[in-house]
Amino acid sequence: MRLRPEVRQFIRNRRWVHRGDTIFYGPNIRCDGFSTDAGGFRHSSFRGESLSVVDCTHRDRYGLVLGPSSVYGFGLAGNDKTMPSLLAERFGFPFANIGLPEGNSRNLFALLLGIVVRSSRPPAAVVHISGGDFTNFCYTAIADPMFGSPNLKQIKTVLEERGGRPPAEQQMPALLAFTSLWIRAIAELCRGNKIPFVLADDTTFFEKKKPSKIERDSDLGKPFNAAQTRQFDTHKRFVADYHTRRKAVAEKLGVALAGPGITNTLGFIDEFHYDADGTRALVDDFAKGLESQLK
Amino acid sequence: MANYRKMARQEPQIGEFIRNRKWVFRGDVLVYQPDISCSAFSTDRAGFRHSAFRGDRLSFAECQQRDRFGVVLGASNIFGFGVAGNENALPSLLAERFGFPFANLGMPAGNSRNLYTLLMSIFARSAGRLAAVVHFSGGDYSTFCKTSTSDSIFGSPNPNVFDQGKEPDRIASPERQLPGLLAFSSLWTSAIVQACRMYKVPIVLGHDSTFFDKAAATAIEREFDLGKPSRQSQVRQFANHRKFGDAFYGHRRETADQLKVPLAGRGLTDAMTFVDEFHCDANGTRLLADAVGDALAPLLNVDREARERANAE
Repeated sequence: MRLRPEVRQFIRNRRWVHRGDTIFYGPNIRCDGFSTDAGGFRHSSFRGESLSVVDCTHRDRYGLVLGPSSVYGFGLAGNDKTMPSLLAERFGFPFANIGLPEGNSRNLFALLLGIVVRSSRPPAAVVHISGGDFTNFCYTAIADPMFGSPNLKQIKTVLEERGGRPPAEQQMPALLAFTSLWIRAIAELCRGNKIPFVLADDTTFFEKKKPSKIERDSDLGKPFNAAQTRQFDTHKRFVADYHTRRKAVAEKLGVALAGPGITNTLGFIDEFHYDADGTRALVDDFAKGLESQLK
Repeated sequence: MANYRKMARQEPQIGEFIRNRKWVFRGDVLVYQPDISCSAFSTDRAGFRHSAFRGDRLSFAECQQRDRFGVVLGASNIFGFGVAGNENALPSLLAERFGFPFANLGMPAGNSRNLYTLLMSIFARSAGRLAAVVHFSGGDYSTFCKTSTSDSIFGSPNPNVFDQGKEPDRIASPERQLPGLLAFSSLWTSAIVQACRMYKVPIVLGHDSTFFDKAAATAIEREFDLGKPSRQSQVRQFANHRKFGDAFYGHRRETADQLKVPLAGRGLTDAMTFVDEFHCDANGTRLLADAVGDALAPLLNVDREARERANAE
């Protein structure tokens, strides 16, 4: 926080609430670094306006970015610096920020379905970042092939139920089945409604070849407790399997896969969240994947 | 609330359901404890109650391996809480009637979004063999009545979240939350029906009945104190049930009409008998299974004729 004081706002205002069984960010937060709408989604920016998800879906043309806290833009001060706002700047129509805490593909599918069914016009573009499926898994090393991993508020209960963590390698097939099932569901929903779709090949600090000075000074990648040691270790051991499966799913479905993939040179605020330059570089990749479809 | 202690003394098999009632998480969703085996019922490795077919005891996975199988999606009333013998649960009765197995996909307070998830996994992995789907949405309503809150996409929080009292500020006015419940239930019911249409699988919607909808209680229902709240939270829960039943069931009927899907089991409520407020007994289950079977039979005949024509061509 000394090196990146803007992060303080995000930590101070971090609040999770339930909508059904699903965890969302606190609604109607307003601070210097960011703001959320009545649904708990971070506002996105378009031509100087701050837009809620509902505002976006009322426009003649709008896009959606579905994903976890990296889409929300944890630590990234200014709603205009987040992925949806940068895509809006690039394409000339607003993009809604559908970023949930550890947002998994099943819950993101539900939001997409709700928007497609209820809005007067379907979205003009969808970018889906499925990395939350994997990062959520790394907390508990538990996954179900239909329902994914327990959410952040359930971790303690689930570990008590199971008497601890199972071996991650036993649970990885279920995680891969889960992520394939719901990436496919999202892609097919877009295809069925003729919505241009990009699957993001997102990444984390752990896949970075060489950390920068500020990343080293911020101790990125160094666990501070036993839980983080396990979480980071699980991430490093299985991230290649996750990327390989996602690539295979994209090829099988014939959808665009955009992003740096298994290695990157992006800038990070912490292990899982891109800084402003990293976000912009990533958005350039996504935009390339979308451009040809939007033409 | 039904006097379970008294009931268990008089009918020991009810005691088995109470002793073995345990929920665990799969992902962020509650399911029944897997691998339970007692004299009244048993569950498979995934936490689904076994169904019976021609003397075999079948898990969900085993049903999916058959050439032809059906599924019944629902909440604890489909699981068959209080109905002793897997062969007396609704899916087993349908299997007996139609000559192919039906998997029991009853989840604790199972809501339509989570039931849709189960259906999606079947379509992804064994779509060609799925011959019939029956969907009950009573879990959407019962969790709403318990929590007085509902989101239009994600429904109501599961009872564990609510019981922990972590978000007491979310205990809202149920009148204001009702539109969220109705929107939620119709969104996912439509999604289930449309998925079945896409894969050309016959589907029937089921009408859930509870003790609260009955005009008059039987002597045994009175004896076991059905409908009498024993805690403050039950006062609110039971009041919600009585107050919003017409709105919920009316909306279910409108949804079925709009989707042009049969809705089976309406008009049976007064003839049904209940173990507790939410679960009908073996006789009530058979009545409901007959109604669902009557609605499903013509769809399966049309389906069979179409398959025979396709084979002949």
